[in-house]
Amino acid sequence: MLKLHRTIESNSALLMFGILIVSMIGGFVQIVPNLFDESLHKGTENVKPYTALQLTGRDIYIREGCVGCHSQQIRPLVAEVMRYGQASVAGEHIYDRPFLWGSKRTGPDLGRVGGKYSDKWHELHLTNPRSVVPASIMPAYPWLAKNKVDAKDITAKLELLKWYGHPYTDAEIEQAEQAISGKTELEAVIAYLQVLGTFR
Amino acid sequence: MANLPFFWQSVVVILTAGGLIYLLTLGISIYFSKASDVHDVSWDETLEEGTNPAPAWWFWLGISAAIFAIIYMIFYPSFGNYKGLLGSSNVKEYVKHKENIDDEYYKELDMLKRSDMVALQFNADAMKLASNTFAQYCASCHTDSAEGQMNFPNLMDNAWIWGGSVEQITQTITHGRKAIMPSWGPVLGEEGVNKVANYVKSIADNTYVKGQHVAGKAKFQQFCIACHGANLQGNPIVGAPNLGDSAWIYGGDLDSIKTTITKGRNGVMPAHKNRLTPLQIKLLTAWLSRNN
Repeated sequence: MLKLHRTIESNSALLMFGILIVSMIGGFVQIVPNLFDESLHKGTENVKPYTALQLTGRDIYIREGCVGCHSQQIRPLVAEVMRYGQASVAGEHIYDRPFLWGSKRTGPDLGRVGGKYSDKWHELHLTNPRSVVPASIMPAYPWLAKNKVDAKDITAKLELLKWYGHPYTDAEIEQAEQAISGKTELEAVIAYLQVLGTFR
Repeated sequence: MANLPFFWQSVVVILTAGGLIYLLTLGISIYFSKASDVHDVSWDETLEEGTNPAPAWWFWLGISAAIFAIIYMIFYPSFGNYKGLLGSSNVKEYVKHKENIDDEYYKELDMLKRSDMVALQFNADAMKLASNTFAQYCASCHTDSAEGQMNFPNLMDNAWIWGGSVEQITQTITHGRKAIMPSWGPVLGEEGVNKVANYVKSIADNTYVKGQHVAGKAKFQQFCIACHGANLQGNPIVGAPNLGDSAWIYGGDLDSIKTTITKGRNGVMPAHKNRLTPLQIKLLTAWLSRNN
């Protein structure tokens, strides 16, 4: 025992490695087994993979950093469910890669925002939030209405997701580029927002 | 609630239990090791370490933490798929908390559920509740005062686009509404749009004189009366607004009217059946129709 102690203590590289291994055990036990928990990977009844336009909107949502202020997970707490809607479940996020649950709530949770407002409202609100909600502190995103979406990557994106197991048909992948070309980024983001939380 | 396959369950159990046992034995063995044995490493030639036991507070802190962990694992789900003696879960806690709240306010809620519209409208607390609900769910579009804003109708002016009866308002909130005004630009042409817009504006402003705007009136009767009616009174069944009053959703100046006719409008009221309880919808309906 003392001999082992001596070896570790007098070799800093070995000591660091040992500390790393020991401190990894907790994370390993909490995280890795869940990757094999079937109940967390089974989709809900209504879950569907994102369409080409919704997926493009999702990428813009990531690009603009929306996740920095808006979470997408409603916890099973009474106040939260009353404010935002039914609590989020794992199964509705199986086609989120990566998930955008977030942990910062400067703005409201968007876990069930789909269908809450009309497209027109989103259009006005994203272009200038103050035009519909005077007290809003959200930044304006006026360029979304001007920029056309970048359609050239969408086929590759869908193919990769299909490789991960998202059930896209060949026809969907083939028509993806055509389906989104000419659309504005605003339309794509709205399409994404309107589907959020409708998978449960 | 964990639902792990056997192998991974074993991994969790072995690492959790093994880690606990290992730390306990380590703590105990250090505590009971013989004091003042000199460690056989000497640093800097003469600097030597002893193997004195750890202080008692440290030892007992470690032992009580381990005991706490064991008790916790017996009662709460933390050991593989074991659900714990209490069978506790987030969802169960939520349901319990919700039931407690419902029980606490049962009398009040039951009274509200049984009240009719007029009784609710004379109940100041119920109206306060309704106005708070409105601020939470409706004000983003219709504003806090319910007087609406550009693109979103005023709900306080008695100009009901989809009808102002209790049934119609309930239907509007519960299932939402989709209004479709087609774009008439291609059909009417710029000149036609101009004429119809001027005719509509003269009626709305009450400046129409018989014999004026003949062409506009003719086109209106050809294309618009199916929804908006011969007297421009609108039709709540298809959500066609009355054009003869001063209530405008998309602006009542000549340019706005021309834009509306040329490009069309698609007003959408989202359905709220999954967001509001029947009682909340009832309260909102009572609040909105209190001036009718």
